[in-house]
Amino acid sequence: MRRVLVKLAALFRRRRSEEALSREVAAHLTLLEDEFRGQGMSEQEARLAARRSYGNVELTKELHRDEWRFAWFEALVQDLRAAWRSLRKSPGFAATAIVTLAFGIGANTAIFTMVNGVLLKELPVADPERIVRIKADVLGGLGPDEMPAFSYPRFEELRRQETVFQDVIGVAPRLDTLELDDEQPQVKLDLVTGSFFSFFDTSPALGRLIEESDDEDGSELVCVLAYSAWQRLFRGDPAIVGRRIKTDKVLMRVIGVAPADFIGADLQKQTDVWAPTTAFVGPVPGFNRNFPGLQWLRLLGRLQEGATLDASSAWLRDASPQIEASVARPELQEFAYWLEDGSAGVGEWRGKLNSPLWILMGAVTLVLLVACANLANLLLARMRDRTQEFAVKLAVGIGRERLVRQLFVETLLVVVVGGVAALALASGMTRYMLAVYSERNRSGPFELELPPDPAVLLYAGGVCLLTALIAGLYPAWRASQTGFGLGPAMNAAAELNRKWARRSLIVVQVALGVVLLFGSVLFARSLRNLATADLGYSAERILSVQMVRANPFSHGKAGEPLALADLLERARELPGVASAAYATIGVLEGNMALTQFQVPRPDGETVTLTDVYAINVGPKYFETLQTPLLRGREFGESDQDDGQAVVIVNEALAKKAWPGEDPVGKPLGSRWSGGAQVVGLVADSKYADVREDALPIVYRVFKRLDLIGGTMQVRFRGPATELDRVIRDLVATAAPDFRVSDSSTIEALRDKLISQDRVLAFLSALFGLLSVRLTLVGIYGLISYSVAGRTHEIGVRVSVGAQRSQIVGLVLGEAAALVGLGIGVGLPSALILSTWLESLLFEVAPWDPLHIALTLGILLLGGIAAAYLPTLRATRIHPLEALKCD
Amino acid sequence: VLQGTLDLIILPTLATMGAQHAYGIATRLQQVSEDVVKLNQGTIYPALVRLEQEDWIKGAWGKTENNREAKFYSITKNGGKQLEAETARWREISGLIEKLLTEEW
Repeated sequence: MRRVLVKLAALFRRRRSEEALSREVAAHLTLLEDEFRGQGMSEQEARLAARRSYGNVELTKELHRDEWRFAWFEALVQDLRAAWRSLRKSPGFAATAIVTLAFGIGANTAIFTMVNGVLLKELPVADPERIVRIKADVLGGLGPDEMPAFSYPRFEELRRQETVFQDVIGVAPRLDTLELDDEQPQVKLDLVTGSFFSFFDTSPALGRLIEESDDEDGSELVCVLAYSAWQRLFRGDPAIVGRRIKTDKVLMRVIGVAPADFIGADLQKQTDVWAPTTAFVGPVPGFNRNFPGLQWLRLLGRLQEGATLDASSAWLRDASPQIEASVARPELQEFAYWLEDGSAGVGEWRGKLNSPLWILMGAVTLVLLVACANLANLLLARMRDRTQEFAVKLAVGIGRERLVRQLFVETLLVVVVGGVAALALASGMTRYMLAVYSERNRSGPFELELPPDPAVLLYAGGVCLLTALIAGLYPAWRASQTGFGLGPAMNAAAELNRKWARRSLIVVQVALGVVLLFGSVLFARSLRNLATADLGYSAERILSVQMVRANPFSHGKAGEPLALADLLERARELPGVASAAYATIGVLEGNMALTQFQVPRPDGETVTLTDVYAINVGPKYFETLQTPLLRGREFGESDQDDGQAVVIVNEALAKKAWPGEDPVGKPLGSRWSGGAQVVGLVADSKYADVREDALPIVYRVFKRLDLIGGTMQVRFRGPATELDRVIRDLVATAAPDFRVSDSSTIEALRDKLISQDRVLAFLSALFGLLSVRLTLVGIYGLISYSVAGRTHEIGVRVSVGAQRSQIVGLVLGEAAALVGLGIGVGLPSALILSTWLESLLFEVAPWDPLHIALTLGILLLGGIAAAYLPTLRATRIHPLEALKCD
Repeated sequence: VLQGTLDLIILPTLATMGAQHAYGIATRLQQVSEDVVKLNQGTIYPALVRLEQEDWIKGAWGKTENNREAKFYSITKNGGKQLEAETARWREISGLIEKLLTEEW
């Protein structure tokens, strides 16, 4: 222990101890000299004898130093200095290596940031393994990964299932506009059931949190602020507790502030305000939170101690009929409940991004491997130039071990500098991904804690170290095998070895490049298919204007529907507008509801059709969207009057309901209303999503009094932004009770829907091209060195009569062989790996020869291009000069 | 030379002969070992540094009888204690080895 302190102190007294050492050694030598002179030697002889007797002075000093301080630290500093000097001497190498690594490590860190934030994070509870999401099989309407919503009565009933649940909480996100004195910011408000905060075992930073009693009907409306919102909106004013705040929907009293590290039940979103579910506002007055027909709460459960997920899920599924029977008015759909792991909370991103992120993670790992191979290759190439330096170093007494260490430190320095650049790059890339994903999201932006997250930094550091080890160790070891000879001839064997190593590295790079490029070609094709898919209507030049009531509390004032009818008429007369029509839900808006219809058969039986979209549309809807009308007629103005109920169906429905028959004139029934008659047949449409298979759709007529909001579709000529402004103005004047909640062209809606595919295609293309670029640089470097090393040989060949074409064949042959070998390894791997991508692709078959040809074409052409310059150089070798040069 | 062995040789040398410079210690070592231990004189420096850092010996610059400058090392109080402990331990071990070697099996 004492020695550790002394050694530490010695680090700072280096010069003084160094002087003392020299003085002491000199004194010792003098004494020895005296001794030898006393024995009758001459001055000169005595000095030499003293030296001999003393031993290697420098070595002794080194050993001495080892004892007096932490030698490894000193050595590290020395090595770092040497590395710095060495890199300064070859800025070209350093820059190439650093940029290569910045991309490789940066891509890795960016994707890991997402993986860490979305796939690995868990709810801040002591027992995340006991938290489950409650899911249900309903009659369609949900993607496989999305969390279904449940009515409040269902929540209450599920919470009573104490056989499996210790507790159940419900969460419903909402965006409110907070009304402050000087500003009206939007806040992310989560409606939560009474035991929400006790579920997370959270204690307040200020005041108190929501309790069961706050969530009972008739109790005062209260809310809890998030710490960040408290700081941002109220400047951390402690007097906020007890004050009332007003949003566009509710007036609530603030009772407390949640702790700073509490972000809520959704890990990819920072909630601003939590309010009990009594603050619920229905779409129509009279719809309170207890209304059984509204499914709006997402549920998380905590399993009973010792209960397993599978057993609980099975039990719940079996109990579903009883649960549904006790729910007041199960309405139109019956649920079969089941459970899945809920340790990640109610966030929707884990489900959505699970496969894309793992695939990107795989891709960036390959990119990093390519970067490693590239760096190793660069280092090996450098070894050749530095043979002499190593030989000298070894000759003057550096240990081979120390030489390896010095070279490794050099690599490490490059990697660390590259790593720092990578962090900046990574944060940019992560921001890009978050921005694109947020844009698509309806329930508010996608938020993620960006670095410095300790896990991310740790990961980046680990990747750096691993990179240095993979790329740096072999070249360093090879360098240490340098012979003492100074000429290239002496190191011919080592040179040959290195060449084989470099060739293998190129083959590996080409193979990895094939895999990445192939994947990116698939994603690009998939994106193209999505962007050009036939939707069943025209996506071009149609503006979709979504309107909601400006004041959700006012409904059904007499005369208003006429205002909307008037609005439509005036919109149709606008210059540049070709056609306009209303629908309750426009195309590609999502939010589709699936219902059931009854088809009366001639034999008296009734067939029930499930999973049918029902949409109310007005006259000229199909004309506006340019959906082909196959039989019958469109809705007319007269259909909107109360009279004979009429519907229009699409082909998918007709095929299911009346296979092989003409649907026009057939009756169709639903649970709410009596029968209706089919008056028209239209082509199938992708109504909610580009990826969906054509679903059966029943179009009902848009009755005048139905309107509580909806979408006006406008087909136009001219610029969309101009029309958008004109229409917004028109809504403000002609229908002041409504406001435009969203307005965009159908093309823009489609682009939002496929934004995830865009991210995948963009990033995979980026990674693919990056790896190919790195590989081509590697080929260029290798062939250049190869040509330089063979100058003599080529000179001899030319002088004995080799043709230009033979020399070209000689050099290009080498490049072609390497690329060919790489493709031979890479292509089968790419085909096997691509089966994993199938779920993410849209109408793309991996085995399509076009993809294979495209991938191979890019690599072969690139390979030849990379080898072209060195080849040119080879053909210009003049035999005389070549022979003179050695 | 085994690390530690050298320590055990330097400490008694200083204990019996008083303050000595490195050269003196090295010479003494050669005499005692009757040149059995062939070592470069420089080799004892690391041992000296170690012992000084442990505060078992102490170095001070002085003059030799020939008026040459040299660093003289002397044993400290701690060093004395250490020597006793080491000697005891050494006796124990060597006794054990002796016993192991001579005992019939």
